[in-house]
Amino acid sequence: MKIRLLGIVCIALSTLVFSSCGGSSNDEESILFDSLVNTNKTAKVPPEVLQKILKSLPSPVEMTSIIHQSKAKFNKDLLNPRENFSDYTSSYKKAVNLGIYGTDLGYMNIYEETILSMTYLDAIKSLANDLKIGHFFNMDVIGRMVSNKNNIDSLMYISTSSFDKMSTYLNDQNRAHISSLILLGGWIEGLYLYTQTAKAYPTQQLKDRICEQKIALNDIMVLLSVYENNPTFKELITDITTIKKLYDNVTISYKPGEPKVEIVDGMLQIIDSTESVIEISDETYNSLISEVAIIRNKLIQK
Amino acid sequence: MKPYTYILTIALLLPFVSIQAQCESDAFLDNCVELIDNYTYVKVFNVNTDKKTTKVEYSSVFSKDHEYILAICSGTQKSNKKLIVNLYDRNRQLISSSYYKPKNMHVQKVGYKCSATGVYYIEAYFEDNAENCGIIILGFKKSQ
Repeated sequence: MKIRLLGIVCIALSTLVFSSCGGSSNDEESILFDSLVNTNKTAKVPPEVLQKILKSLPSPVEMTSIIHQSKAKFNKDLLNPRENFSDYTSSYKKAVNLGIYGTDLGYMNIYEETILSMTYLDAIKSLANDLKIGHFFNMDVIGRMVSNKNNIDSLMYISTSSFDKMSTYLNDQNRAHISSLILLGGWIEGLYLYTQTAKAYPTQQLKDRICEQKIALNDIMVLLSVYENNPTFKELITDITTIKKLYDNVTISYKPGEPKVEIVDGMLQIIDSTESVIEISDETYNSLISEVAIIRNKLIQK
Repeated sequence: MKPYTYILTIALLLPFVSIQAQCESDAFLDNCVELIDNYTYVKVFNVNTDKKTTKVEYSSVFSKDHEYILAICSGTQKSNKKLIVNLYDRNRQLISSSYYKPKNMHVQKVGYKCSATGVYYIEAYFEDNAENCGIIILGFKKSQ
């Protein structure tokens, strides 16, 4: 009880502190957006359930790392242009594009495009400030790391963990709709980078990774169902449902095998021989690439 | 309430807060992340158990031809009981556990070489259903 009471005091204090440094010009809209969401189905979903769904979604760092492993060259044209950030005025656009920029940041960092990524940090910080979550980005630390390419692993860790902590914080603050939009934006951008890279560098590995998103999409559909009565999410739900219909034509089957377990240097190592096999027609694959681009390009517009 | 009463109240409550705060602090995460070595950090799963919630479960999609690591760190301020992590496949069949029964030992790192893309379930609880906090860090790298 005492802990709960202090927790409430802490939340109240932190809300006061953080709301005073947000600097947003869209406070009224944020309140409207929050109330729109909270009057709907969201309130019925326990925060811990939402948190579990959000945690199950693929991490942008994993998606961008896979692109890097495919030996594809970095393509600046795939990024959401940095200057777009000032055009985003609604909380919806800010949150979705914060996720998009977050994935772009991971893409730039993994290719060690540190000077370019530095220019995007301002955009990220600005959108995060407007959404009152700017305090998760320590620009001094990130800036120092960007200037030293030897720190790329640490930079990746700090950027990823900042987004991770931000999502947990938003959920704790009953603002899971914002973290949902950030994660959805990040996922769509990851899928966009996958598909566009696969167009230029067609490899089986990238194709498989694109098809595997069918599994993540099941969780995304569960997440979106939370907001199905909310007008703000309507267009996004329609768009992602279009992708879902294409993914329904992807088949993932399994050849069973047995896991082998051993201890190596204090680490439990599991080697599984179960295999997954993915099937997709060329027609579905090409439609998927086109559809993802249409949806993503719509999201980065004003 | 007089000012000193506020100070006294906060001083009395601080130990209760620090138990959970230990596991949610940046220092705790930074320390634990050292365990993942050459794997790329993906995300962290928080584990907080109490009398009501003795077990937590998360899920994550693992990709074929990738190796994953689960780095396990438990808080020490409330209990010394070990955090046990079980990994299940998409059919909720147990793959393995951080408690390695044949040698009666607990490991802090579980590596999984994935050859089948799918949803994997990560279940976590403390020995004897103890109340405690901890974190599980998920990292990954491409299989050699």
